Amino acid sequence: MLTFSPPSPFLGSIVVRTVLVWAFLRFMTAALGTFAEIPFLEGLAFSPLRFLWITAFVAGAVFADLRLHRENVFLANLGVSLWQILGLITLLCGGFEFLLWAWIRG
Amino acid sequence: MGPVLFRAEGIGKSFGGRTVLSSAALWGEAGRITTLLGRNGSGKTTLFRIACGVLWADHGVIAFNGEVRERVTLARLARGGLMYVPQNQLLCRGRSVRAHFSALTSRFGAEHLEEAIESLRIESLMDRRSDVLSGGERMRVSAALALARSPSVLLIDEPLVGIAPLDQELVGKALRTLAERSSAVITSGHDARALLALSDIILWSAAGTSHYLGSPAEALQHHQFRREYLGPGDWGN
Repeated sequence: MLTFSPPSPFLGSIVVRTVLVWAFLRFMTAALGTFAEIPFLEGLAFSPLRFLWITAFVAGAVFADLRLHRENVFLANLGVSLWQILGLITLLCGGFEFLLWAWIRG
Repeated sequence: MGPVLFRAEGIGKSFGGRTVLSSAALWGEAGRITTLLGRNGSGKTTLFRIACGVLWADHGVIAFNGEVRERVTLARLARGGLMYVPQNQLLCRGRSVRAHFSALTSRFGAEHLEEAIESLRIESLMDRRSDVLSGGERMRVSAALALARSPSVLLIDEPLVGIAPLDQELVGKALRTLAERSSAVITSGHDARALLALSDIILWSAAGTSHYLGSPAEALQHHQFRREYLGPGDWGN
């Protein structure tokens, strides 16, 4: 996929972290929207602005966790840059948004 | 003198108005072990972190593989053949030693893998998680990863600090093996006796800069270095 993308176990854990944080944020924003009388499914609909801030938040959380587990320096030693990880997270968040959009449209 | 493979020059860095480095330099020659000695707080680790792109300097340049840049990243340097081992911080929490070697060899090949595992005596540690290893074991595993990677330039911060003499000997031998493979090994630390015995070139980090002292024997003849850093102990000559 990407030259010097993370090796498989590290790639897997980045994907899992991204899924968990993204799903939590998407569910929470839709759930909180119901207090403002926005229907839950409508709260799950795609919005470019929401996509941007959720991706930024997911990236921040994943980077913080990588740092906490000291994976950032090890991955950098393998030639994997933070930009490549950010690209991967953006791609994943975009993919999840597409799947969610497809699911909502039924 | 071997060819200089890596050079950080004119490095300056301040934190919150406090100048840690004013004009420091660090370099590595092929086939040589270069050691940066200095007191706590003299900026050794800051200089290492800047040299390998983990931290950016306020001013100064990094020259590596024919490129001279003000700002580099570790990932870019690593793709060019550099490896950075922070003090006991290379291994990832929660992952086995074997997972580290698998990741490394999937990227850079396994040519030196068996030799690395054998010479650092870490066979019995391969299936253990890195966070249950002792400091000495972690440094042996880090040194084995460096040996398996066989980088053209290795920056290893304080490799002998807080580890047993036997571990120091094994890590020291690994660094010498890398130098014999024509790598430039750059290290730092406080254990002056062990590092003077291990090194080919001594740099002294003091007053925000670094001073070239020459060979360990020449460093021991340097009056200011002896007076302000080594102290009055028995240093052999």
